[in-house]
Amino acid sequence: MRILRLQLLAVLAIITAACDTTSSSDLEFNYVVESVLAAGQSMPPLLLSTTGDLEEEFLFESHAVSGATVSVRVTGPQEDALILYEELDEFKGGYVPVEYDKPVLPLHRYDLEILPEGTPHRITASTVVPDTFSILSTPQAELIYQGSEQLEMRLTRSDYPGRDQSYYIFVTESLDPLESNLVPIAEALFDDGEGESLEELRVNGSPIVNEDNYDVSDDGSLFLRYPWIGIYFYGANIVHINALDDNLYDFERSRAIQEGGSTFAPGEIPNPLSHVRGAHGVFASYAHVSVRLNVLQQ
Amino acid sequence: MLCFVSQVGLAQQGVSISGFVTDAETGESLIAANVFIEDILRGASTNASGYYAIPGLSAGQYRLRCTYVGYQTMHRVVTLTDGELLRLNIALEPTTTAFDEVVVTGEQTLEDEARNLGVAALNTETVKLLPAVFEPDVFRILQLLPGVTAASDYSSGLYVRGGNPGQTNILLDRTKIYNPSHVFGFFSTFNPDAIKDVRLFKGGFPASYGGSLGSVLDVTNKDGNRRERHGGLSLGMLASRAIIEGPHPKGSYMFAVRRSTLEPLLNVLGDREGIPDRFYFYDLNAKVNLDLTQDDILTVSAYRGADLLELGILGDAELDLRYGNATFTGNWTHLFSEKLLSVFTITNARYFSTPTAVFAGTEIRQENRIYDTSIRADLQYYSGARNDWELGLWAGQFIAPLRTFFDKTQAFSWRRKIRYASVYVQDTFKPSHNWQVKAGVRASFLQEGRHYRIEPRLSVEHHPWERVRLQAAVGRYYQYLTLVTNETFSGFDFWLTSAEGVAPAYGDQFILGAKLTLAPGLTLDSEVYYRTMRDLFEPDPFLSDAAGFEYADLFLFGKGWARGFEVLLQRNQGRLFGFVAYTLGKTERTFPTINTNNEGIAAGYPPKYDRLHDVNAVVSYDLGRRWEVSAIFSYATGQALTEPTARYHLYLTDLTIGEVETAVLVSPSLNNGRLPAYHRLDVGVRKGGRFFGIADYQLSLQAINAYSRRNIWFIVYDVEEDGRIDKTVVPQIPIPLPNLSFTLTF
Repeated sequence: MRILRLQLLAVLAIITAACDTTSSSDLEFNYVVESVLAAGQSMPPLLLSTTGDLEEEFLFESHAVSGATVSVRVTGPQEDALILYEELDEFKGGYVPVEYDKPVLPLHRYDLEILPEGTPHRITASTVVPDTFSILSTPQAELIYQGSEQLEMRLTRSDYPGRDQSYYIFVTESLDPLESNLVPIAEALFDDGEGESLEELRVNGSPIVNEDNYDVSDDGSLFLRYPWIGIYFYGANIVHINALDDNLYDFERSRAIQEGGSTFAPGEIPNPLSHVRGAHGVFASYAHVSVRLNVLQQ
Repeated sequence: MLCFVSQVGLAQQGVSISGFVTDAETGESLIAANVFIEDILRGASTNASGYYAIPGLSAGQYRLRCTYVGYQTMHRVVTLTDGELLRLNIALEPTTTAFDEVVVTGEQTLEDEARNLGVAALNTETVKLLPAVFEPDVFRILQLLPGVTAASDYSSGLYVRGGNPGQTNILLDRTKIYNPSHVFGFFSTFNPDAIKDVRLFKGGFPASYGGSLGSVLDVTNKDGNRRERHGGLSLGMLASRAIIEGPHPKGSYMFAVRRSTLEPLLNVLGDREGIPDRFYFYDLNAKVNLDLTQDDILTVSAYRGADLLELGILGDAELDLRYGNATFTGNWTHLFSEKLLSVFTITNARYFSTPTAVFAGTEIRQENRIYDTSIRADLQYYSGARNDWELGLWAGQFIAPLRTFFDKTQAFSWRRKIRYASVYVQDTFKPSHNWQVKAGVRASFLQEGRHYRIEPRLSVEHHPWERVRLQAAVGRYYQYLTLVTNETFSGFDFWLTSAEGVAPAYGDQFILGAKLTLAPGLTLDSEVYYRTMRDLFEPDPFLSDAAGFEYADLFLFGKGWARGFEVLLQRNQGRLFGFVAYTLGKTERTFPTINTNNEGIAAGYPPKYDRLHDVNAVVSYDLGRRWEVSAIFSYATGQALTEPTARYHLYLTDLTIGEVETAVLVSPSLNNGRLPAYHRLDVGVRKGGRFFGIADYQLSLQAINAYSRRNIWFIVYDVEEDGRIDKTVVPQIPIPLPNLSFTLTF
C-alpha cells in the first residue's frame, strides 16, 4: 500500500539521519589565548597554550605554545601603534609587549594577531576598551555585617560604544581570609574544610549586573548599594567594580553557565561565547575602580 | 449523481436522530462515544458535551448501535417517520472490569475517535491501576504513549513529538493550566479521582484548537454522579485524596481534594539540613451541573492548586518557593435545534510563581503572575448527510506581570495587558461511508505587536477495508506564548508572550497514519510525522541580567524540526489488557549563539529529550477474586548530553589580582554525546473487596524500578583541587521504590 510505503520511507529517512552524528562545530584547533586589558593600566601579558585532556591534571607549562608571533595594533584618537610581543624565556607560552610602556587607553580598539610557529594557522581578536569611571562620593570605611547600613557609593558612568548601559562584575577580595573571619553563609560553604577552600572563598565574584539596576542621578552618576551577599569575610576587604567590554561580557555570562543554571537542561554544557577567531579563550578589556571596606561582626 | 440527488432529497426531509450519551450508573456524559446506524453505515461521535446528531435520514426502520470503551454496547431498533426529529438519549452500562471493552466489529468505521490521527485517549482507571511513583499521575501514564517522552524519573513534563512542555496546550474544562505540576515537576496537577476524560492531541489537531505549536491536552473534570451520592477516600505515601459526588434536584455535583501528607514525616526528621521547614501541595476540583431545560445545561467548574516549600540552607540562607494555579470555567450548552448545538464559555485562569531566596540578608525574588480571562462561543451545525460544520469565536485578555527584585530593589519589570482573539470554521465532510475530510481554518490575533495569523488545517481519512483506516493530516500552527522553564525544577516556570518585535512561533505538521484492527479488542496503530518549528522565541539562556534590555532583546529566535514513527499495539478486551508503544523519533534545534563554531555560525543540536528509540510495554492481568497484577517496562535510547572532550585553564581573567585559576570545558558541540540506554521495570498488585460492609476497598502495592537499574539523569563535571576533572553521575531513581495505597469507595 502506498501510504505504508511512504511510512517505511519516512522511517528509513529517520534511521539514516539518526546514523549521522550531530552537526558540530568541529574543533580544528586547540589553541587557547588569554589576555585581559585593564583601562589605565599597563599592557598585560598574553598566555598562549593548547587545550588539555579532560582526564589529566592540567599544567600550563605542559600546554604552553612557544615561538608564536604576537602583535596588537592599537587605534583610536590618542594612539595608532603596533605593539609587538616577545615570549619570556622563563615562562614558555607567556608573551609580553616589547618596548611599549603606554597604558591601556579607554575607548581605543586593540586588534590581536597571533601566528603560531610552523603553521599557517592565524588567531585574531579585537576589543574596544570601556571608558574609565570613578567613585564620586566617599563610601563608608567600616560597616557592621548585615547592619542597618550597607556599603553605598556614587559612581560616574563608564561609556561603551554601541551600548546604552554598562555591564559590571563586582569582586570582593578579602585581606583577612581566616576561618575565624568567615561570615555565616561562607562558613556553611567552607563546611569545616569539606567544602570550598579559604582560597576559593577569598575572592567572591558576582554574576554580571547591568547598569540599569542602579539609580541614575540628574548629573548622570550612578548610586550603588552593595549587597551583603558579596561579603564572605569579616575584616578588611577590597571591593572591585569592573565595567566589561563586549568580549568579557559574552565570555563571563556564558562561562558561568557551565556551572549550571539558566534554562539549559542538566547535562547540557555550552561552550563559552568567545570572540577569539582560531582559538579558544578570551581577549578582552575592562575598566575598574576599587574601594576598601572593613566589616565588623554584629 | 443519482446517489447525490438521493442524499440531498433525504436530507431535505429533515429526519434525524440526536441526543446525549451518558453513563447509565453515574449519568456522566461520555465524550467521543460512537453512535452508528448499521443499515446505512453512518454514524457520529459525541462531542465534548456528550451530544451527537445524525441528520439527513429518511423515514424507516434503523438498527442503531452505541459503543464506548469500557461500556456495554447498546443495540436498538428505531423507527422514524417523515419529518421526525428523534431525541434519543442513550445511557450505556459500564462493563464489570475497567478494561472489558466493546467488541469491535467489522463495521467499525469513522466512529472510533480515540484512534483518530494524532489522538490518544486515556482511561483514568488505568492511571489508578498501573504502578506509579508515590501517587497515581495522569501525566506519568501519558508519558508511556507513543510520541510522548519523559525527561526523567523526576519529571512529569510532557515532551510530545519533539516539542518541549511549553508546546503542549493543557486545558482543564477548556481553561488553560499554566503550570500543570506539583512538587516542582514531579507530579501533574490532575487528581485522577476528579478527571473524567483525558485526550491528548499529539499533532494534526483540528482548527477548533489553537494556541499551540505542537499538541493539546484536553482534560475534562467529572460532572458528578447524577444517580446517587458516592464518595471515596484514598491514603497514599505522599498524598491522600477524597471525593464526593452526587445528584441534586437540577443536575449533579463533584468535589475532590488532594493534599500532601508529609508533615508528620517532616516533623520526625526534624530540623536538619535539607529538610524543609514547611512543605505541602494541594488540589481542589469542583464541578456543578444544572440541567436548566431539556436543551440547556449550565456547568460551572473550578480548580485550585498550589505548592509551598520553605527551606533553610547554608546556615544563613532561606528559600521560599510558592506557585499555583486557579481556574474557573462556566459553560452554557444550548441546543437551538437538533442540528445546531452551541456552547458558550467563560474561562478564567490564574497562575502565580513567587520564588524567593534570601542569602546573607540579600533577598532575590521573582514574581510572575498570569490573569487570563476569555469568552468563547462554539457552534456545531449538523447540516445533513455529508457535512458537519463547526464555528467558533474566542476573545480574551491576558495580563502577565513579571518582576524581579534584588536586594529589595526592583531589577526588572514587564507588564502588559494583552487582548487576543481567534475565530475558526471547519467542516467535516463525508462524501461516502468510507471517506471523511475535515477542512478548517483558524484566524488568530494578538494585540501586542498586532500579529494576525491564518492557520489552515486539513485531514483525510479513508477506510479501504473494514478493519483498516488510513489517515493523513497537514496543518499550520501558531503559538503566541513561550514557556520559560528548566527541566530540573518547574517551580520557577513563567510565560512570556509575542509582542512588538517578537513574532509568534509557527510550524507545519505532516502526518500519515494507518490503523488496523487485527482481531476483536486487538489493534495496531501506526503514524509517521514530520513537523517544523519556526520563529521559536526563547529567552537568551546566556542573559544573566535582564535589567535595561528591550523586551525583544531578551530572546533568541530559532528554529527546529522533529520527525518520527510511532506504533501502538493495544489489547483492550478481556482479562489481559495492555499495550506496547514504540517511537522512533528525532528532533533538533538551532539558535544563534548556542552551539556556534569559531566563526560564530550556529549549528543544530539535539535537545536533551531527543531519543531515537522509545519503547513502553504495559500489561495488566485480572487474576480473579478482585486481584489484579500489572507491570510497566520502559526502554529508551540514552538522552543527549554534552560530553566535554577537552579543557583549558584561565589565569588572568578574574578581574582582580590574577591568582585564581579557572577551568573551562570544551566540547565539539552541544549535546554531542549520549547517556547509556534507559530501562526500568515497575510492577504492582491490587486487591479489591468489601471493607467491613461499609465500603469497597482497594489496596495497592507497587515497586518502581523493580530490578534496581541505575539509570543516569545527568553528569556534573567538577574541577578538583589537584586540577583533575571529576565526573559526578546524578542518578534517576536508583533503587526499588515501594508504593502503598489504600482506597475506600462508598
